[in-house]
Amino acid sequence: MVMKATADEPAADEPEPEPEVVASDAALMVDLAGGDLKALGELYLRHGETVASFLARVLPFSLQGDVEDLCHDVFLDIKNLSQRYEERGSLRSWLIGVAIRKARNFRRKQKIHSILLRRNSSGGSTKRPPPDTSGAMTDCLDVQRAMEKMPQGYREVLVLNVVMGFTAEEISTALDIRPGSVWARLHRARKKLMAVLDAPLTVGEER
Amino acid sequence: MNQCSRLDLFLDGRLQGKALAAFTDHLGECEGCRSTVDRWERSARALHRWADGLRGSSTTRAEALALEEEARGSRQAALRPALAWAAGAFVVSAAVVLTILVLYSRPSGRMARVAETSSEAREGLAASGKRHARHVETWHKIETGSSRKAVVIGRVFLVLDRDTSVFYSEDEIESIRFRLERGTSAFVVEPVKDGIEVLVQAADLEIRVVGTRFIVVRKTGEVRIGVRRGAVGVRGPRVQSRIVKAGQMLAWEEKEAAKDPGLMDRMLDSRLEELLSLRAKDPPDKSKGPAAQNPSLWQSDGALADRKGERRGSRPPLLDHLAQGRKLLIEGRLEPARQSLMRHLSCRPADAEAWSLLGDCLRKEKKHEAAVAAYRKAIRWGSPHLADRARFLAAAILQDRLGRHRSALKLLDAYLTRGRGRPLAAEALLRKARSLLGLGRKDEAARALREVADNHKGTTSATTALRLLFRLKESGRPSAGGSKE
Repeated sequence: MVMKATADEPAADEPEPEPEVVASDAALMVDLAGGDLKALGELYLRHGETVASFLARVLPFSLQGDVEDLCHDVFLDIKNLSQRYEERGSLRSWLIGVAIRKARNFRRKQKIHSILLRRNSSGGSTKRPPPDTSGAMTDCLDVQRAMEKMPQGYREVLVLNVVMGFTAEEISTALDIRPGSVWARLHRARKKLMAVLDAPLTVGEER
Repeated sequence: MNQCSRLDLFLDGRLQGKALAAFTDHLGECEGCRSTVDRWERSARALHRWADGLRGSSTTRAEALALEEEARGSRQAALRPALAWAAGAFVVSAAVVLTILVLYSRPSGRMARVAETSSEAREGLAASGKRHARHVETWHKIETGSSRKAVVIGRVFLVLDRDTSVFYSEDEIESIRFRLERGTSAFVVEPVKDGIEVLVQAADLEIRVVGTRFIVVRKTGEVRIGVRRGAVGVRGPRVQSRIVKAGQMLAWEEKEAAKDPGLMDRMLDSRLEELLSLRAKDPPDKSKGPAAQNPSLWQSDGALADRKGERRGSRPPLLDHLAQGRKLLIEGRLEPARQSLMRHLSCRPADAEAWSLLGDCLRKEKKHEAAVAAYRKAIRWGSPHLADRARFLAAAILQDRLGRHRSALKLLDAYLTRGRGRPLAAEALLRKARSLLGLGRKDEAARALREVADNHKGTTSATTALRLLFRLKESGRPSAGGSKE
């Protein structure tokens, strides 16, 4: 039985070579669910940079290494999640959804850690050093301040829409909320950002 | 409608056509709206600069390094008074606990003895402080005497063999740590859900758990790690960090490792045969270490395994042709992969997973007919998920390579009748439409294409469907009902 299946030779008039049958993101996910780790590598090549960029932007106060670790965690997780993956829009949005959950967990852990650290510390040792006000970083201080004040949900929508160019539908898939809520969050985030940037201490755009 | 109320729509980019023109005219007249638009444009530019700076900017990296250094310094500074406080607190609390234990507890041979003593607490604290100087940790001791013990700590199910001693520390925030003092422990770790890390220390080795089942044995001068499922990362001061995967066993000897740092690499896998042969033997050979002396532990681990694990455990040692075939296939070595899979199938002709892998292998070898035959076997015996995958791939080959649209259509219909939420539903519908076109059933093809375009917006399949639909409308009218292919 086995021999029969494999002994068949290809047809003599075999069609000319075509692109590989399995090529789309969804097909790669199916291959991944089947245990083909090459598909994971391909997906990482396609979307790794997007996920890492997103994580770096929604976790602006984290170290570069943490962001890369989280990005790798996302791709390790999708290996397991691939069994449950269903194609509803682009894979990019779905991956960002996984990354968002990772980022939220990470922030929660960091928060607990900093609370414990503050409780056990003897005073001002956990204060950050004064920011370096020279060079390109200064331009971004106001934005950083605004993003720090903004609720996480607003920050995510702002980064996804304004910086990364995601559509409302893609964001709604990623965040698992309705498109109407995406717009509402975006409007509020926009107002908050403008309010902070318009504050008297602004050193960004007008400098 | 008041144009000012459309400002948000304008900023969202949702205004089009006449509405956009009307609002642009309004901007010329309304100072407030114009100012808001200007402010937003400035803000968006600043946001872009900030975002670009966060990704790949050397300034950011330098700052990150500085912050890391600063954070490290502050953590150590923060920990010093905490350690002093904790050590004092432990001495007092442990003395109280010890007194209570002595007065009220009656430790028996059957029950694990959970004890906190001042020396143990200090020892645990010192050990943890060396590696992870972040939290003040409480170490608990679990010890077994003449019987085995199973305990659940966090998401870790731990089975301790006879005469085993384990310390554990659970800070509920970052990690659960175990330190195997002696004996044999089987660890079954649930997949990570809460981000809490699981670490196991045995002698100088530190085992980082990814979500797995594994066994650690420690006896004088030797540590063995056998992984049943998933993987663990192992590292130590004289050991190169490495990953130990399912089916592998790592044996590490303190004295030998000190002499020869490369020993660990050579010893990996060399004990696998021994481990598996121990399982097969009954009664066990007592000359082959604690695992053999306590076979019940290995059996208990087997009992914990699910059906898949049991099947795997019952395979002959070192003859796991399925795993080997999968590995070779992933590496792209098609010929040996096919041979391994066939060898496996000669023993287990109804193993759908193997048929599916064989189909993949044959597909990559461009043996299309044989690949379809293999996929059909996978469909016959496979789980719904596996069968779906095989259906789709077989249909793709039939359609693209063999031009057998009728057979492809049957498979695609079967795939789609299992629900439109399948992973490749859009592509399957698109393929169905193509097969229908191939058979000259243009109306049905158009319906399928419309379904793709309507139900799978945003996917590449939807775009292709729209394109095909357009072509069909352009060219299909005069020859409606005809079948050229």
